[in-house]
Amino acid sequence: MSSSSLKRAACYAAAGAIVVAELATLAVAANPTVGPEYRAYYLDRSVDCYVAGDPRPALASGQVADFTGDSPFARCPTLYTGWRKPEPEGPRARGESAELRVKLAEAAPAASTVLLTLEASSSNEGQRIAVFAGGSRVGEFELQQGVNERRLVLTEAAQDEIRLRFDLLDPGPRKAKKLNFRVKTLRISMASALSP
Amino acid sequence: MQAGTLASSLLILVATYVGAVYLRETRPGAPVFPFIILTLAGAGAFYLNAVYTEPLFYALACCAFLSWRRGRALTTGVIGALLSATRAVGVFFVVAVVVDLLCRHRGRIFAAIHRQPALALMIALCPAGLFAFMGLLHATMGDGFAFSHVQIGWGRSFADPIGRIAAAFTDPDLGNVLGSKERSLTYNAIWAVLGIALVGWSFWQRRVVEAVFGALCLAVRLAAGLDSFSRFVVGCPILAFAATDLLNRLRPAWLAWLAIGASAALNLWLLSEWMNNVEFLT
Repeated sequence: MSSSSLKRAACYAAAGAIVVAELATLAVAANPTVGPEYRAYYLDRSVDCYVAGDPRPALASGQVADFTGDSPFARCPTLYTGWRKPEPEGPRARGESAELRVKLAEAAPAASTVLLTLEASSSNEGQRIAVFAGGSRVGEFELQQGVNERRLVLTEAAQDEIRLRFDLLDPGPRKAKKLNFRVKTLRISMASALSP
Repeated sequence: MQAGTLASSLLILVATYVGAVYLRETRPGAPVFPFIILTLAGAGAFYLNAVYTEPLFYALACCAFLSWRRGRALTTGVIGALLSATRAVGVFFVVAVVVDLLCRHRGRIFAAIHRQPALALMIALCPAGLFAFMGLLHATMGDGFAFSHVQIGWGRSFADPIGRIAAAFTDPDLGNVLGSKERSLTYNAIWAVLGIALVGWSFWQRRVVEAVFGALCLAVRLAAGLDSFSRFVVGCPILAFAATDLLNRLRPAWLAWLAIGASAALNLWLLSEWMNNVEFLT
């Protein structure tokens, strides 16, 4: 074999080995081995923020979760998805759906009551919103400009957190296709506390 | 920080020298001073002396183009690998040289590789830097595509590049640049249009390898978002090559001097704003 043939064979072999290594890297990289928080934020993009662990403050029965100012409740991952950056007046929803995941200090049995204070601007006037807790529909209401207080009753128990999802049903007379309300406060009263 | 700034300054000096040599070899007789001034003192040149990946990318790209011009396949492959390891868009260098090979050999790329087997090694080597980086990311973080996935942390996601530019001009926020100094999509969109125009000029001049590389880099970066686009345009030497060609063609010649002077003056103002840590220059 001539030296030029040897050189050619060496080049092809080296190039082939590099390409095989590159394809192997690609195959390995196509299957990431990451934690659930990383996957949710960076890969699935199902949440709005990446926070390792669970730094959320826990809400006790009767306690008010204040979302205004520099409140620890007005942070990710309590503001789970569908929220703009927190503002002193309270976080503002965006898009057609927004979800809160409030950590509970104790389990909330079915029939517990959630009292919500929302603030709507003139563009939200007349928007109809459905609220889901843990997958079950627990309410539907129409937003009025200004402060809106709404009471919801849980239809199923919530163990360590309560997941509240707000879905836009009807954009209202102003045809506002995005939720734009602020959440100001949330209070939960456990069913057992209400029972005589 | 000081060591990083010093390294960036040294790298950009190397890049200026290598880029000037490349221009002398590819544009015999044409002045190279516009390239030198644009690289060292043109609008946004301060980015190339800061601790970003731009100066390394700029220097490696100049070296890769010179090496390819001189027909040193293996050296080009090694530099191409370093280029793709520095910034993901560096992987497009291999696409540009393959297109160049196709043009030069009228589509008979395999015949060209058969005559010069080192080309096969070069083509395999160029993207190896990016793959090595992916392997490192997978080993340390478990996600080989973290360099792409992390873009969401800056609010970036892939979208239609032209739509992005159109939106930035439809709802202009250029007032931020002089007023609140907040982020301005319109400011970055102006840089994007400048970059597209310069790539178009490269194609018009039939600088195939430069134009293809510039076009792919711009398209992918534009699809990811307009944020920091001014830095991206400044950090792409192909656009400085094209700007040099354009300035050399300007008649009367004093127009070129005027443009270069204006660019340098703009750089001084941008630098003073950047030192104040304003958002629109991040």
